[in-house]
Amino acid sequence: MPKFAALVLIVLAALLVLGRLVQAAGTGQAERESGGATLVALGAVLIPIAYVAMMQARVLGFREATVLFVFALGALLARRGRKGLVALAGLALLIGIGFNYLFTQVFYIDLPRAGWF
Amino acid sequence: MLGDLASALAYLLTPWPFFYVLLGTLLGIFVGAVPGLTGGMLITLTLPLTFYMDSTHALVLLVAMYVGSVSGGLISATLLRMPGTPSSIMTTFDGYPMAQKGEPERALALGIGASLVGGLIAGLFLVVLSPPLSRWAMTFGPFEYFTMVLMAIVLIASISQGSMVKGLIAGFLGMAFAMPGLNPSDGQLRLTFDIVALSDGFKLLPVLLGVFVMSQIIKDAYEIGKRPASLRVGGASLLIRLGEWRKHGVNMLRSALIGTWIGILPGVGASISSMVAYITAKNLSRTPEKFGTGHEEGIVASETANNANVGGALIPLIAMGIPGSPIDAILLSALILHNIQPGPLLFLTNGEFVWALIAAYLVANLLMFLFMTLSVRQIAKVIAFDKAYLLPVIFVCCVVGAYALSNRMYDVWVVIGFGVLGFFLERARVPLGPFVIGFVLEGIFEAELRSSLQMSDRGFLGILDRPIALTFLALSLIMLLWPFVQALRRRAATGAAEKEAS
Repeated sequence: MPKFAALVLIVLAALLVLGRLVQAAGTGQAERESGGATLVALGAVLIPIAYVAMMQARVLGFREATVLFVFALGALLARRGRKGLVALAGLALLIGIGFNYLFTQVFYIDLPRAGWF
Repeated sequence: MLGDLASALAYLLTPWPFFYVLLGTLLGIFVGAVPGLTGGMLITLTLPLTFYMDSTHALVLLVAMYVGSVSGGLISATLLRMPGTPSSIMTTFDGYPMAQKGEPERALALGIGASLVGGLIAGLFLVVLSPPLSRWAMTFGPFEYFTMVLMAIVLIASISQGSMVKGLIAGFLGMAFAMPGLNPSDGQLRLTFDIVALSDGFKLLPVLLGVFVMSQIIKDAYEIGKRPASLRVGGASLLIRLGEWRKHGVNMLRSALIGTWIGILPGVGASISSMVAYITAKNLSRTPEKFGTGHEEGIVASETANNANVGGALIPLIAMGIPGSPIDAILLSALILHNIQPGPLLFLTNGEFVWALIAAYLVANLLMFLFMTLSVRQIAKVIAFDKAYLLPVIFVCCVVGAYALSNRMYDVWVVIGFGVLGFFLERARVPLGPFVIGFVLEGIFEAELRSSLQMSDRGFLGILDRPIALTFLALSLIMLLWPFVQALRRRAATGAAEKEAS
């Protein structure tokens, strides 16, 4: 079964590449993306990766890592003034501490804790 | 049948089930109305929370969310020219121009009324068709199931937007990602590349969270600067007058039938239904030139069909365990995660549960109509909010949902991995619907194919003795080859025209 799926995928990919080559020869250049949006999208991948890696390495527990994560990703996406950052810090604390309480005390999920805890 | 439905409706009117239908509908409408948040996202995020709930309550909540989210999309389609949910794309073509002309209340009233009619007509089919269809499906053997899943994948790939090759790639890629782990036929590990965590494969929930939620977070981050201005809703009535119901009656009935039928076809979602209903309404209209300029018929066709699709798509899910749309694939996963075996026996083994789902669908449609009519002005004020604060919180919910499954970080990495993959697939215009359907159905596909081959003395030729399976296979082949035949005919026609011209 895996071999069959791989074979089908290879054939389809070849068809797609062939089609694209024919199309490219006809139409020329493809559209370009804006650099800023790409950086924000990249941040929206890298910050979650850092967040999960910190919890996996037990550098930080769920509560502390979540406070940092919500603030960092929110700050990247919001790009607001000082007032917005204060509100964001409040939200980060609320989510970090509140979710930690909710999920560990109410739903009894054993969320990651820091190694030094 | 009617007795079962009546007792299910009575059950739904007891406090907790009613609370869950109400909650699901309200959340669904809100999430559906906000561009960048989708029904699939909401249902997938809610799924891990339902582990702690009674399974009937859980599914009732998820079905209500499904109904709400498809309906809520019309608000942003009309007021922002951005479909709040993919299925309301066609509504933007006439809803927004009508709102711009100073009649947003009328556009919304038509959309809300049409949604209710579409939902209820499909509900009627859901009640009438599901039991006999499940009895018919009980006669299916492995060959029938295998060919039906094949048909579902080919169908969704061939009808999904963009190229069919990309749709097929998405479907087979989804299937390929479902293969690592324990091979169910011989008990051996396969495709694990010596990674211990992979011996368990990719679990359903983290993959769904990645494809539906994480990829959407990245997409939203990519488009975070685009905040549209919302048109205001005035004080005019949000109800359609009796004469208008009559005026649009034929269009509503036709679009509801199209929506229900496309919903029943395995794998095809609400966006296709509203597109087909819209195009049909345009072709049959006396004033086709008005479509796209704020024409009532366009709004009615699109909104009736997308809501009818929800009911139609529940039919194969309930009767045969085959998802009628990508969101139904999440509902199928919910059944599996709640230890309810989907398939034609569901009516026999969990009759009360099934009727409760059907009743929840009907009640959610009525609540949707009430809630949308009463509070659409308030929702309209908040749908264009800045999602910068919401996206990090959504990801935290993803992390907890994936982690809680087996208390391991591996599943969280799977969420991120599939999120990135989903984002790039969408950027490359490879549809995610076939990917999810392929991933969810691969288990059944492979198991049924193996059983068919083991049972048959003549290998695959055994299918020749199974007329239903043969029909499914023939339909799959026709759907697969049809675009090529069409292309050849078009080429022949242009060749002939050129010859004539010269």
